Amino acid sequence: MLRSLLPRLLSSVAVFLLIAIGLFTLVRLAPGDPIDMMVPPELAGAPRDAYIASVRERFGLDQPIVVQFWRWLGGLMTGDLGFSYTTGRPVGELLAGRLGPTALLMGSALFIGLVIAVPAGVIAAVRRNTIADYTISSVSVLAIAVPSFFLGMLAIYTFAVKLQVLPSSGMHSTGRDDLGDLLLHMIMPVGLLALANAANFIRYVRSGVLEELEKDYVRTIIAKGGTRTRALRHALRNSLMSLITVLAMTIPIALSGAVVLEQIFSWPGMGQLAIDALGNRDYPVLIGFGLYIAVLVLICNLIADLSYTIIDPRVRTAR
Amino acid sequence: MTDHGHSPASTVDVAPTSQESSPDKLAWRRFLKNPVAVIGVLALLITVLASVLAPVISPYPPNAIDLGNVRQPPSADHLLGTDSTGRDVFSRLLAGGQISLMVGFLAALMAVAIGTLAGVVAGWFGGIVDGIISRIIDIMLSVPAVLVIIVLAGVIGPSVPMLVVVIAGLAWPTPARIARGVVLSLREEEFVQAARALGSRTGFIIFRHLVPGVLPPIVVSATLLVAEAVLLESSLSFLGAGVQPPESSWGNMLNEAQSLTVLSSMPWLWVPAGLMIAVTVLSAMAVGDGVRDAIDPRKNN
Repeated sequence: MLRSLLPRLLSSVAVFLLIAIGLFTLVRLAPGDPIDMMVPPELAGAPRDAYIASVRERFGLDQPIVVQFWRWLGGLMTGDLGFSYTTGRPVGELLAGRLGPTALLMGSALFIGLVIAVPAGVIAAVRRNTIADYTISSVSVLAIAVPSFFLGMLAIYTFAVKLQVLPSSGMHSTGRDDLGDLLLHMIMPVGLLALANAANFIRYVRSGVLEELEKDYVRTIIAKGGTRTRALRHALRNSLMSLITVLAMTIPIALSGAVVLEQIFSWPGMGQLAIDALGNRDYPVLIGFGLYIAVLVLICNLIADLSYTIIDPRVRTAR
Repeated sequence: MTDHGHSPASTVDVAPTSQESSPDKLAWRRFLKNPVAVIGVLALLITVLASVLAPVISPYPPNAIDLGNVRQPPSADHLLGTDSTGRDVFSRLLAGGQISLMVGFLAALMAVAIGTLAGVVAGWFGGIVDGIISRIIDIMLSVPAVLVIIVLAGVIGPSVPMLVVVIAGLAWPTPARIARGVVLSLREEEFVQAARALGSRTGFIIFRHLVPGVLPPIVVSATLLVAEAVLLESSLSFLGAGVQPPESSWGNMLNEAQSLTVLSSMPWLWVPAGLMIAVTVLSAMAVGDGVRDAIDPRKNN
């Protein structure tokens, strides 16, 4: 198994390096100079130039580009992603600080999404072309088609403005940090993200179970006098196995959904950090975010490959 | 289109006259019998038409500021009211539709063109070529487009052409995978083998025999990609990484309505744009599903 994984690992490292070079080049080619925004407005003439020079030196921007790249790459290896242009704080620290809220949001939404999607998808597959199937499929299509930010605004309008039962933004009310308060803040963003995830997964579960139910072994079970439940149990096991791979592959995509919802509900996660950096042209933060996504995508791909090998003995022996 | 790869005529709704039972006509008739798909086509047509005719039917210029008429509720003068700088919401909705639909269609078209070619090449040549293309497809399928575009928009600045190119650049793996699968089975078909044996050049085989065979499922994938691209554009414009104000798009109209006061007391500023996104995406998805059921009736039953 290790032998089949090693080339994939190496190709992932190569892809990561390519992305890193791409991102670095991109920043150097970018129009505009973010340093301009850091100069206090009261400075003019010579003091202004001196200030800009000092900032350039502080960030190492006065060095030749190759030197800058080597330094940057060396820094990356030691976890040093540079400093935010706007706050002056280390990018690694900024990203790490936002990881918790985003992980909480995504983790609970993935979990709840699965808890909804597996039974719903199985019901839709087993009761194919019945009211139950149509209802489940329609709801999942609706949840995919209606943008989550619109649903989010509708939810805020309903539950925060009209009914006033849920807080409209943030993770905590001011002055409170107990679990109940946190859970109350989580209901809307987690609920909507879970709905989006579930809508996605339901289609995979449904088509996966349908595919298994048509296989020969299911017919054999029935032919030998086995019950439908028994046949379903076998089919379910086989189809849910492939769901693990799908799950690993969709985690980076689910992060997009989290970013949008963080923006609506002012959830203090990585998405908000990235959107703020976008507004401020804070290149180091954006690059750090980009590298983080690249690592996430590559790791999730490796996990998908690996889970495939572990779950399915045929793949293991075939390689 | 093609005269192969289709299922034999279903006997239920077909008169066995030779004229009427060509697979294309059958598919077309099956499509027209699907009410959801037909409603989808009509809704999409109306939206496209309204956007194309926007300059003619807009009662006001979409970017015309009127500070004397700020945040007016819908009235006879302003069908959908005015926004925070007195611009006519109905006119902005039409202008926004233009951009949203243009991005959606262009991105889907580009993605399908790239994807079809890559998929056909991978499926036809196999071996290392297929290995490399398939590996790229695998990785690209889990790349989150929204996040990539946020980073790019932050670094090189947001723009509509960038949006189209990047969405297409990230969306092509879906049609590519479909095209590859079809070509893998077409490759073994006798008419392709015959063309090969007769010494046809590869380019000829690809464009004469493979691409037409791949087209039906690709059309399905293309309509779904339009839906996906419209959703992506609106999410990005909502986040500030897409279409930039003062230019309007459905996404950034919602962005401008994020304050609690607007949310609670001025629904005309955000509900219409949200509904337009939902209706457009739903229609495109319904059309895609309808086409799929029409060209491959076996899948449905």
